[in-house]
Amino acid sequence: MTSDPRDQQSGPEFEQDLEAVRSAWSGLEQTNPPDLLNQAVLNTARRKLNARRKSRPLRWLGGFATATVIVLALTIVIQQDEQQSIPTLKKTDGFMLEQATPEASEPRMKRSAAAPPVAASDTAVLPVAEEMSDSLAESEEATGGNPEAEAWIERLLLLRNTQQDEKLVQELAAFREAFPDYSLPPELQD
Amino acid sequence: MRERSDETLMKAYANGSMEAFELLYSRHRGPLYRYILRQVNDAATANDLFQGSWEKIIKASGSYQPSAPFRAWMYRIAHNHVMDYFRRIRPISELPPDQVEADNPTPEKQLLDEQRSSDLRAAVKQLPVEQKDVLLLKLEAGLDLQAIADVTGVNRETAKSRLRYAVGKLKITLREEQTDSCND
Repeated sequence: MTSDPRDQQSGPEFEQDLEAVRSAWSGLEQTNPPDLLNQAVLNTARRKLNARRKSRPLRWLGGFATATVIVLALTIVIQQDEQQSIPTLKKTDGFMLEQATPEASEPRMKRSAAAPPVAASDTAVLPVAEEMSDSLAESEEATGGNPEAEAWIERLLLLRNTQQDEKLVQELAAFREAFPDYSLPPELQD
Repeated sequence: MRERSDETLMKAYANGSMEAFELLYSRHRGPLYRYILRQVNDAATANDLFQGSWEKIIKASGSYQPSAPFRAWMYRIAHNHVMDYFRRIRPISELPPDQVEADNPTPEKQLLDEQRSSDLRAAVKQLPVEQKDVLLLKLEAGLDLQAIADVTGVNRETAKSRLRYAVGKLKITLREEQTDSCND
């Protein structure tokens, strides 16, 4: 993680100083966490894993339920489309029977095969949906990717501005519990 | 055999491999512990913060995205945890005295290095929290400036400036040591 070329632009003197400090630093004792602490951390990790394993069937069930709902919804949509298209065909058939000209019916059949009404509406909707999901992703990225955390930070800033320090400390602790890896804005880092 | 990356190991742990976590932990426990210990200068507090940091890492493992570098992600969690601690115990000047002790000090080396190590630790201890944080992320965690900036939530130039000040102060201490040893 020290290969960024911009890090080398700090000047040779700084690099030399950093190297000297690094060298002196490496002479310091390499203190490690006590064994009991290692065991405690590993036990926590193991407990979390076991808890996750226990809850896994439910998660699988949730995914399965979602997939089932999607399939059912699609089936209903397709069936509705088919039902709508049946009366139209019957009318056409009657008209075609009266005319009794196979040449006249051929282009109509080709047209319907080439561009079914449902497919046409799908292709019109798809780019819009893609665009919407793109812009949603962009906006989430711009706000740090988590609207809930951003809203929380707004509340924290409000507490800070109204000088409710005690409440602010409590809220900050709760925020850290919920979002341990989220960077706070500079105003809240004091 | 090719070494598995931290990101791969974290993902494997999230998928149920305890062995992956053990390997990941063995890689990072020392540097992360020292990063915390050198900031708080108290073994008991460092133990608490170290354990708390790992609990947060474990808790957040399910939401970890392998596209983000693991080391920077892990140090961001630890940094936030340590800064929360400092915020709670303000003022920082009332921190307990330096109680850092080596696990296995070598007797022969101890006499020779004791003064130097002590001076260096004292100099680090006197650094402002922000400068100390950046310095430790550089020396203990081995992060580059951009990663340090990401971890500490400042821009790259600020991180660089803090590191420059910290290194400058330590350099003065080292120079004084050299002068003293020459005079002796």
